[in-house]
Amino acid sequence: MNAQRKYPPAPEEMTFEPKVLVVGGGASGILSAEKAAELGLSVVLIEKTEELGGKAAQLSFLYQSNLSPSQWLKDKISSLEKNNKVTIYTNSQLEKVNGQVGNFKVTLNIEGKKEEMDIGAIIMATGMDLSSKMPAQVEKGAGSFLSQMEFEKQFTQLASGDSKTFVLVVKEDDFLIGCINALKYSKKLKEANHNVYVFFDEMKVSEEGTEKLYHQVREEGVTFIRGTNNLKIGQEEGKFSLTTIDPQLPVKLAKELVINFDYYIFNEDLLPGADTGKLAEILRVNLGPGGFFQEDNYHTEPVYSNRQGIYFVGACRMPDLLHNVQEQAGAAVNSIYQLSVADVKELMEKTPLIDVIKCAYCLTCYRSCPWNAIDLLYEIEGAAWDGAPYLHPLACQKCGCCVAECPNRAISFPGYTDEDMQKEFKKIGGKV
Amino acid sequence: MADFNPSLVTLCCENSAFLVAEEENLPGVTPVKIPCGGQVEHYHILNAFDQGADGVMVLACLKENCKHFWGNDRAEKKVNYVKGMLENIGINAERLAYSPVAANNEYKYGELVKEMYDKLKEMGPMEGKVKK
Amino acid sequence: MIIGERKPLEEVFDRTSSFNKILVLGCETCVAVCLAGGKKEAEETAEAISLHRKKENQPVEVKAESVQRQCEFEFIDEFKDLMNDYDVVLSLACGVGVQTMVDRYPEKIVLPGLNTTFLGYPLEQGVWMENCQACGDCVLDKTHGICPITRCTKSMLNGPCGGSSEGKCEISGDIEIECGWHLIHERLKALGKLDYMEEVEPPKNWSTSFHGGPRKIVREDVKIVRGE
Repeated sequence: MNAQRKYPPAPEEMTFEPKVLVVGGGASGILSAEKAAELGLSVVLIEKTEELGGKAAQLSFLYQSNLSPSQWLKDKISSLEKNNKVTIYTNSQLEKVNGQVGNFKVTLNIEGKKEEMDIGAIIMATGMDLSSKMPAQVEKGAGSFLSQMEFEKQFTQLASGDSKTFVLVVKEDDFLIGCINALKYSKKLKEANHNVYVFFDEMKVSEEGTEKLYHQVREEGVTFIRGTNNLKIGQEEGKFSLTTIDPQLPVKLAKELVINFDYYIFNEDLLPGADTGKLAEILRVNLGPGGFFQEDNYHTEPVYSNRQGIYFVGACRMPDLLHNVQEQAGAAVNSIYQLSVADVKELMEKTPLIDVIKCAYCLTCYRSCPWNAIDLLYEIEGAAWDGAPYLHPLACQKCGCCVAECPNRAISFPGYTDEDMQKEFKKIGGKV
Repeated sequence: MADFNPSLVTLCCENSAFLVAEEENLPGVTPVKIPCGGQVEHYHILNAFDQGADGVMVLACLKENCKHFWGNDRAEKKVNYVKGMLENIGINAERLAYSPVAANNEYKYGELVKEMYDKLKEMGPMEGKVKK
Repeated sequence: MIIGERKPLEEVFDRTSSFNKILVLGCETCVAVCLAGGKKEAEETAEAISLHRKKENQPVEVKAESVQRQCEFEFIDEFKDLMNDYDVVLSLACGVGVQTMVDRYPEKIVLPGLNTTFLGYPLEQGVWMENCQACGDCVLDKTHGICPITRCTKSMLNGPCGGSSEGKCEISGDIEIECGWHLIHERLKALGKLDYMEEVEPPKNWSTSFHGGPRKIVREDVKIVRGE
C-alpha cells in the first residue's frame, strides 16, 4: 500500500541549463557576466536603466591603481556587447522566478514586454542606493557641501587650483568605503597642494594597502582628527568655518580648533537598492542585516544565498571595493559551474524522498525548508492530491527539516529513516 | 543507587556536536548522528526513552550558527514541546535537555554530558523502566 | 479546512486507562494538514501512551496507523481487520471521523483523541484562524469577503455594536480580539463601498444553521440507486 512512487524528472532527464541570468548592469553585473561567458556559459544581462555602468562608471579614480574606472568599464561593456555568448537587455526587470537551480523558469519584463526564459542560475548584482543629507542648513554657497559621490564626479574640476582647504568627514557606518574614499581623495588633493583635514570615527583600513596609504597621507601632511559628533559649522557670506575640539587631547591642552574651509565632503548613507525587498520576495531568499541581500550565516559562503543557484555579487550583498567584487563574481560563477557538472544521480540517492501516496500536500515542508528547495508540482501520477511537492536534489542541502515536520511522515531520509534510528537506539546501554 | 549506570542518548548534529561526540567515547553514552537539529522528531525522542534510555540530550549548533539557518532553533522548540509531553506522561522533564555545542568545543561536550550523567545517576532509572 | 487540536495527554491517558490494546488512528486529510492528527501525531501519541503505561507498570499494546480520510467508509474499511485485533480505537480525526467510525463499526469503541475546534485557515505556519461557522447562508457577498458571523463576536449582521474601540472588540481581555465590523468597515472603505454600512439587513434565516438541528444535504441527481 505504501510503495514509494518516483515522479519526474528522472536523473537522466535533469539537465542543467547552461545559461546565467545576471540582474543589474553595474560593475558587479558586468564582471559576473564576463566571468560566466569566459567559462562558456551563455549570459543574459538585464539592466533596469537605459545603460550599463551603474555607480562605478561615475568614479574618477581608484586608490590602488592608475586605472580609470569609467574607461575600464567602457572597455568591458564594449567587449561584452561584441561577445556572442552575452545578451544584454536594458530597461528590463526581473518579474517572476519559478523552478529550481538548473531549471529556473524566469519571467523578464524586457522594455515592457514579458518574456519567459529557461535559466540555470541567477546572479543578483543590483547594487545599492546612496542617500546624502546636508550636514547644515546653508543659505548661500551650498555648492561647498558635497557628498563623496558628487565630489567624485567633479573631482578634476574641484581639485584644480591651489591651496584650497578640504574637510573630509567620514561618519561611522558598517562599511569601509567612506574611509577609503577619504584616503584616496586626501592623497590626490595633497599631491595638488591643498590643505586636507579628515574627521573620522573609526578609520577602517582592513583592505589591502589602505593602512600603508593612511600612513603615507599622514606623513604628507593630511590632518586626521577623531570624532565627528562635535563639528560646528559657522557661515558668513558664503564663507564657512568649522569649529571643533579634538576629543583625543587631554582637557588641559584642548582648545577650540577653527578651520576655514572651501569644501566639505561627507560620506553618504549606503542603503540597499529600493527593489531589494521586492526582489527577495520574487526570489524567495532571506534578507541579511540592514536589508541587504547577504544572509548573515556563519556557514554560508559570502556570495551564496539561502537558495542554490542564486548568488549575490557586489553592493547588493554588501557595499565593497571593485577588486573584491571581481573576486565575488569569480566565486559565484565557479560555484555555478560546479553545480552544472554535479552528479545528480548520486545526489538523488541522498535526497529525502517524498512518498506522493502518503502526502497530504499540506505545504508544511514547502514552508519549513530553510533552503526553499521544494517546488510545488501538479498532475503527478499516483499522488493522493493530484499534486505533490518536489524536493530538488541539486537545491536540497540534506538537513532533514522537512522530514521532521511532515505530519503524515511521507518523507523518508535515506540514512535517517525510522529503521536507521531504531538501529541506533538498539545500542542504548549495550556499550557498557 | 550507587551501582546504577544510566544510559544516555545524545542526538548530535553532524555539523557540530557529532564531530566531538565521535572523538569522546564515554561509557553509557550513545551518540546518534542527525543531519541537523531541524531533523529531530518528537517521536524519535520518545522512542529513545521507550528503547531504554534514561536520558536524552539534543546537541546542535550554537545560536545563529546553524548551517541550515534555523535548524538549531527548531530543535530547541521541539525539545521544549517534548518536555511538556514528558511531564504529562509522568516522566521527569529534566531527563531531556537541549544544548548548543560547537564542533571545536570538546571540553563543553564532556562537561555537559558528565553533568547530565551525574544528574541522571541521582534521579535513578527511568520511571517504569524494566530492570534487566 | 477543519482545524483540530490534540487533547491534553492526561485526558488521553485517563480515557484509555482501562484498555490494554489500543489502536491510534490518524487521519491524513484536514487534521494532518493542521498538524494535529496525521501519521506523525498518531505515532507520537502512541509512543506517549506506551511510555505512560510503562511508567504505571501496566504494559499496553499500542499501534499507530493513519487513514486517508477517516470520514469515508471505504477508506476505514481497509483497517477493519486491524481494528478487530484491538480493544479500542483512539481516533485522531475530527469529530466527523470519530462518528463515521462508530457508524460503520457500532460494535467497536472509538475514543476521540482530538478536540475539533473550528473551520479555518493557516495565517502562517503554526497559526490557525477561524473564519467560517458554516451557517449555511453565506453573506460574504454583502460584506465583501469578511464574515460578520465569525469575525464579529456577537455575530451581528448590522454592526458595529458600539462597543469596539481602536478596532478591538469590547470583550477583549488578555487576548485581543479584532472587531469584525471594524474590519468590514475598513475593507468597504478601501473599496469605496461604504454605502453598505447604511443598509439595514433583515433578520437572517438561521434555520440553515445548526439551530435547525443536524443538517443534511440530499442530492437526488448524484445519489446512486443500485439496480437502476
